[in-house]
Amino acid sequence: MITDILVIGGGGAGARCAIECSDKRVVMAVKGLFGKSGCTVMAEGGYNAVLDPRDDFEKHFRDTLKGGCYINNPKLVKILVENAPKELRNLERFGALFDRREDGSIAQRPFGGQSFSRTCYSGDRTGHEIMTSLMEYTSKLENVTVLEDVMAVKLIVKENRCYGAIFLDLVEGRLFPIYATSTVLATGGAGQIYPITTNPLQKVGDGFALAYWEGVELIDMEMVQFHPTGMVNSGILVTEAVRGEGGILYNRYGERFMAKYDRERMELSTRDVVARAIYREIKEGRGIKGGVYLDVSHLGDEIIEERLETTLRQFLDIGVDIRREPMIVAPTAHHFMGGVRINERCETNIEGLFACGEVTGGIHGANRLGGNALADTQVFGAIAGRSAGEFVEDMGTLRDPVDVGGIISRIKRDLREKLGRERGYSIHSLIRDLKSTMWDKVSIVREERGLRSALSKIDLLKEHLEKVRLRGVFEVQRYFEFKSMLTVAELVTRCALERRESRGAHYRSDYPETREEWRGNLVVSREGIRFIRSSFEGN
Amino acid sequence: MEWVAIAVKRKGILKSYRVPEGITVLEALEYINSNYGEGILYRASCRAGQCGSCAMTINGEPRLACKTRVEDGMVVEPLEGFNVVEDLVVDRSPYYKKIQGLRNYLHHEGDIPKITPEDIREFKGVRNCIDCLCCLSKCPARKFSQYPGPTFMRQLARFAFDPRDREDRERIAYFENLHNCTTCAKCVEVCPKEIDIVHRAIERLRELAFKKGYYLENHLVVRENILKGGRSVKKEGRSFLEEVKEEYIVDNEKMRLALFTGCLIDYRLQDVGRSAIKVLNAHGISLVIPKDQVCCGSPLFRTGQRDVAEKLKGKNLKVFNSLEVDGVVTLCAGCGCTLKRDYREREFQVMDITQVLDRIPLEYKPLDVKVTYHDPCHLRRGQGIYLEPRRILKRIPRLKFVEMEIPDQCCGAGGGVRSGRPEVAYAIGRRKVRMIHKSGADYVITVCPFCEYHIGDTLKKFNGGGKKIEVMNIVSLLERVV
Ligand SMILES: Cc1cc2nc3c(=O)[nH]c(=O)nc-3n(C[C@H](O)[C@H](O)[C@H](O)COP(=O)(O)OP(=O)(O)OC[C@H]3O[C@@H](n4cnc5c(N)ncnc54)[C@H](O)[C@@H]3O)c2cc1C
Ligand code: SF4
Ligand code: SF4
Ligand code: FES
Repeated sequence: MITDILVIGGGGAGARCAIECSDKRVVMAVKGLFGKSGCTVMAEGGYNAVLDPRDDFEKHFRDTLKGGCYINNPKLVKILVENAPKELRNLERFGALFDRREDGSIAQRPFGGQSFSRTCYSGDRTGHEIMTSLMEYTSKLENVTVLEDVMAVKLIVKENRCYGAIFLDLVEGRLFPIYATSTVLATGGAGQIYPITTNPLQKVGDGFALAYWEGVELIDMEMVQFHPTGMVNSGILVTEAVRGEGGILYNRYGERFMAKYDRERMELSTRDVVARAIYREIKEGRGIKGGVYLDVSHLGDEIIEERLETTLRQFLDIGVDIRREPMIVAPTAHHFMGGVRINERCETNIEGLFACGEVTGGIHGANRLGGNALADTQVFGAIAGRSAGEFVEDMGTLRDPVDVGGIISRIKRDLREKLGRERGYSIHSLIRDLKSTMWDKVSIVREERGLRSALSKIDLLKEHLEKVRLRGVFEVQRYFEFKSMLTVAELVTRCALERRESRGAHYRSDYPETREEWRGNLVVSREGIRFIRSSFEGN
Repeated sequence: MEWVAIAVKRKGILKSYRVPEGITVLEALEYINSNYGEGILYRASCRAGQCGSCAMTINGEPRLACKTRVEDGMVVEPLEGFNVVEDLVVDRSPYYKKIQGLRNYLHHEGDIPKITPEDIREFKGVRNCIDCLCCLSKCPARKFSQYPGPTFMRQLARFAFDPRDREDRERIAYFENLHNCTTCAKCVEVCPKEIDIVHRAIERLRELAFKKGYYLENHLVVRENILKGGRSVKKEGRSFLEEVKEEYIVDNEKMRLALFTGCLIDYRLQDVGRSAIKVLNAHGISLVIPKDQVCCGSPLFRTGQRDVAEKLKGKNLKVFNSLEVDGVVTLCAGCGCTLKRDYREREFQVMDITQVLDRIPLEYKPLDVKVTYHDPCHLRRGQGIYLEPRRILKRIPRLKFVEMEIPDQCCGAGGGVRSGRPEVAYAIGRRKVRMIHKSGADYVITVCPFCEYHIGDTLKKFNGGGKKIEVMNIVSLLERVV
């Protein structure tokens, strides 16, 4: 298959990108169902945009940098802030509808870390509304072909130029190339390298790994945001509104432990503080069934039924009536601030390879504000689409694709060997091992010894991977995913080890202070890690 | 840890696995794959009921695997109504093709008009579909006629009520056979997002379509009948109301109810009405029968003719609101549903006859028959009543009760389909009749006169050549044992 533009990923960023370059031939290849297999459709809270005359770009810019602890790329932040309103209006053109005020203007609500109420929403299903409209609009574009249930396993790169990717058909098990003049990575983050995450099953970080293997630079990989409250075991998000309405956190001894960590703000302290507090309680043995209690039963049935309806149902589904009994929650891996390093045109350091959405890094710095990620997908999705389209105009349609026969037969040989084995490691237990290592050593509270032991564990798992025994397409998919996970896990760990300070989402118990000399970014590539001091001085 | 056994269907074969109790079907599949090395293929993403990827047929019903807990003996199959690609993965392409064919995007030019919270409230209910396709899986109109299925109508409604959209959605809906829907509400029952497709999409689209002149000729006939005589069917001979007294009072009265007759009892099935009086009286219930009552409006509400329906409602409310009774009893599932749901301003409680008879039980005489029971859609899903009639039947000594394969599958009569699209009503009815024959019963019992009428006709039309089975209203049966 040959196309002008290959978009890898079918979430908000991928879809917006495809729309923007739909005057060319576009193939959007998705691991799972289009629109359904990413985080975008799950986003509840909202989309940040400056709309009110009393608000302005400067304020949004400042809030974002402050949230990101001043290591965001200010140029990208400026683009985000200035284009978010325009892209919001585009979404309404595509079919989305945001909630309104009585006067017909778009309603906005306050969100953490913002100096103005600028989060636009559609009830508690903002991402769903956005994704639905992008899917509808895409369905009218004749040039856009959507392929579902296919997974990119390798980029086709020759002499620092990308020519598409090799895919695995997740039903038939077939390997096949899609050649393209421009390739756009829109694969989202990697919450699934942790055992507890809000992210969908597909989000193992393939995009980070695919890029890294070909020499692409990644930035801020140590910055992983944990949401303080996820359902224990699964990690599925328990909205912040629960604490907002007066939910109280207890440990197994019935202690209201937030008093120890933030006397003033208690449960309403910032996400990272609450997440760390809960994590510590669990780690130090004061948790219950892997989490802590979050209780709203004192609030009265009416308040719960009215204002926390979604949460009430979510827990009734698992047989817990939050009007009577407490929930059990634990911090959950939520968002990757880091990722592929892009410039203002969404270009990477490989020609013909672009990236947008959560797979990129630099926009959100050390911590992302709620509501900025959805805006990010639209603003940078559109830019990536434009740049990818222009690249096609400059380079022309691909005529003689690179020969990938060699690569494919190498992959096949590797698979044949592992599929043919009588004995070997189980891919599932390797995955479980990695996830629990990441949770124990490289999650919310980090320190040198733990990080080093994680690295040796990762090395060991790499060795074991060579001795894995695979059966069927299902395990082949898991095998490729595990390769990505190992790479991403290693990058997160190495960068976390390198940054000897605490900043934003990255907390080192052996270096608990934020230090000015660390105000900058870790850029990692196959060449190694380097530190780039932030040039932004407007602090 | 406690364990349960669940069976998963692959390549047509069921295989059973032990999995920990309390987990979801989705977690169970993951468990089976990682612990037993099965490699079952299935789709899933969000694990939270938000993406619609994981719909499967679980214990015979379309459900989300991530939102369904395992139970011992559970059977998991690929989503019914779609071709299987592999294991639990089904082919979604017919859905994509069809929805694309409906010009599935906002048709809009120029500035966005002013939209208020009111506007949004109006059509928000149809916007949170997650494309799980559960509703398509079981829709009788889709299965047995040229009808694309519930979610398509929901999607057309999404646009039809969007102040920005310029396309003629009700026209598209009309030509996509909007009027084949029997309003059986199976789609509403299975929708994990609890979208009320019947009331928020189908009926609203029919209303818009009607205003634009897209309706079925026969629905106009119904309208004329009602305008002329206050009843949806034409009068033949003396009506029930003309024949009965105004009151049937019993000694030792346990309850006093007003009887809402409905059109079919009044004009066609007078005998059923008389049986109902006898049976209710025998149970110690006194009846008041207001003579100036009219059609409840159901045939009009269901076919989008709200204008006249509202007038009927006004009339009935005037009659029934002022009565000194404990409630109003309905004999027809459609009437009951309409009174309960559409008569918001009523000051009386409404009960289906089986609710009443179940609440005030009576010792019945024995009867040697074998019966099966058909759940009227507007009783089972419209009013949540299905245990009551079964309990009543089982109280009759010596009566043998057998369930048919899918007792609550629509018979095809509702939603104006029998009057407007008889061929569709018979196509759906034929499947019902086949099930009835298979049950081996002597009688198929039901509550609703509409179902009774239609099943009776269909039984005549497609008699399986075997044993003759008759349809009987539950009160006609009870008359024999009180
Ligand atoms: C529960 C939850 C709530 C959130 N709430 C908010 C909020 O309120 N506001 C906000 O701003 N942000 C929120 N976020 C964050 C935000 O939703 C995401 O950052 C954003 O949607 C990411 O969009 P994306 O298009 O980059 O990636 P995604 O939407 O995750 O899409 C990634 C796509 O790539 C595909 N893919 C992955 N790997 C491959 C591969 N190898 N081959 C082919 N395809 C592949 C996936 O299948 C998927 O289709 C939330 C996130 C979660 C999980
Ligand atoms: S009400 Fe019944 S016939 Fe109508 S769309 Fe729903 S399932 Fe189909
Ligand atoms: S309407 Fe409901 S059942 Fe039908 S596809 Fe949408 S969410 Fe699923
Ligand atoms: S996995 Fe998304 S709805 Fe079940």
